[in-house]
Amino acid sequence: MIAFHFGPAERPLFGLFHPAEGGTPDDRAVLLCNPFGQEAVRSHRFYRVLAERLARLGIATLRFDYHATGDSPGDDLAGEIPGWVADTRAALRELVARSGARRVVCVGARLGAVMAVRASTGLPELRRIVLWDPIVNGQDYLELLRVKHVEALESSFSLADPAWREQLAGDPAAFTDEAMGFAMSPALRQQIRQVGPHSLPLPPGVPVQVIVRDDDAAVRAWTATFAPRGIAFQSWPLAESFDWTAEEDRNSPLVPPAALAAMMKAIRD
Amino acid sequence: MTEPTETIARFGDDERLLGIVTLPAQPRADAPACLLMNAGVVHRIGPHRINVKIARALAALGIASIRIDLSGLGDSPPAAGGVHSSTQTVMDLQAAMDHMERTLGIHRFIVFGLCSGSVHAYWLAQKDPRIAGVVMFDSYVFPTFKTHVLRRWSRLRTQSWASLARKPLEWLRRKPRVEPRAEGEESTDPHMKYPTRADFARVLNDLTGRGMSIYLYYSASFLEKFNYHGQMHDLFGREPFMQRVRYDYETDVDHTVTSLHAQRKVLASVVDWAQSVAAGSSGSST
Repeated sequence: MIAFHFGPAERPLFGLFHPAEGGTPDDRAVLLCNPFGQEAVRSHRFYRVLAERLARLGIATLRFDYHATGDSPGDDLAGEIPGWVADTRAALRELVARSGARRVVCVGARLGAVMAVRASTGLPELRRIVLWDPIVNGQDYLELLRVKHVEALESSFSLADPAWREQLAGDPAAFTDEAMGFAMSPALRQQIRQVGPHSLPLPPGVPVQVIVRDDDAAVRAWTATFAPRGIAFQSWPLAESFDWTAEEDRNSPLVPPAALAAMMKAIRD
Repeated sequence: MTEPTETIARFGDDERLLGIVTLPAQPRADAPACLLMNAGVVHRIGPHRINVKIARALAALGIASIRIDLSGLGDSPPAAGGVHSSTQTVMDLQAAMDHMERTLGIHRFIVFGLCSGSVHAYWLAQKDPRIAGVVMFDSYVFPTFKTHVLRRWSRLRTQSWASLARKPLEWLRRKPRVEPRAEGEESTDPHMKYPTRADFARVLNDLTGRGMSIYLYYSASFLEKFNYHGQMHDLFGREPFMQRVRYDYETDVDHTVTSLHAQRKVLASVVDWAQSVAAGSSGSST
């Protein structure tokens, strides 16, 4: 694994490149696009294990932090989707340059699906998009973040303040400028609010693999539109969801075997 | 203000460990560098990116830092084995200091330890003379009689009258529960043994007696064992270290600094304390 900085000098990004280590020589390479905020912290170990397994099978993989996230420069409030899409394009170029791959698989989890889809469109090497529990309704996602933020407070403080629930129920503006430990600018909130099927313009001719919970009706409704549009699509249903928002000290697995197996198949098969 | 520079560090045996060094644009002469590490299994950025925020805030004051992934956590692979994990942790932190000494010529260090990190910081401080100061965020707690009274009272206040009316019957039906002892708990790992109150006092007296700055910070996440500001004074009021440490108990801060308010508060306190250590003061305010 090689840790490094890449991208434009005025906007460097932190990356971790896993070169192909063995297995059958493969001309594929994989880019892993992070979710947002606590969900990215939560999936860090999953992505690391996934990258290591792919590298051992001969598939080079790149992980990276968008601007204003993780180890990349920038304050939380500087995070915004158009910038993150540009960061993802820079990461795709870096992956192709470092790996020499002729085929690229772009993977996006949660909000990372938006970056994966938008950034990879037009990339000549793009051969497959893999999305895991993608966010297809930004308004619902913002509301989920509000609820999960209050749940996180209730879980972390010994004594929950009843006012948190009252604010959550009575004031739609409450808990909108932060989500489970991460600041959100008004611009980012607006950009997330606008996320919908229209903001996931799947590139024509590129197969899409979607790993999704059995009961995620929004994603299922979205993928139901693929066949009429001629989009090659395969679904990898999961009986149990990954716990995207839990704190790390809670008792839920960071690398669920079923999700890892589904991800490996979705990327390789 | 000029932005700090961040570089990637590989260090330890076979350069196995990963860290990010944050270098101030204008380093402060003779300032210690800060060690930041994992809290629980969160990778080097810390819960809610607090380590990154601390690193960059310290850099603005001229203080360098390294935030690291300990063996087997984040992006550092596990060690070959053979020693207890907490011993390995001390070795990892010492390797990070060796790296900073070798590359930057810094010989004094402060440590920010949150959650499991506070335990690691406690042991590192006893093992390595390069440590000038330690933040122990939610470290060892020793309840008093008043702690238990306050805990029961605070629970009662949140319950309905109907629920309270059922309590006597519930108490009669309750079976005796055997809880593991926190104090002096046995473990095969010498560093993971929960110190007794006397051990804790002895260690802190020793460390502060040597001139080390200690910052004890308690959040509102363990109210069953720590729930009033005077608790440390009731326990250790006669111990010399209580006159030398900085000590805060904050009811609006939680264990993983979830709210931005909590993050700002912790950040301001830690940076203020670090500045005082860099200036050569003990930073005490009990």
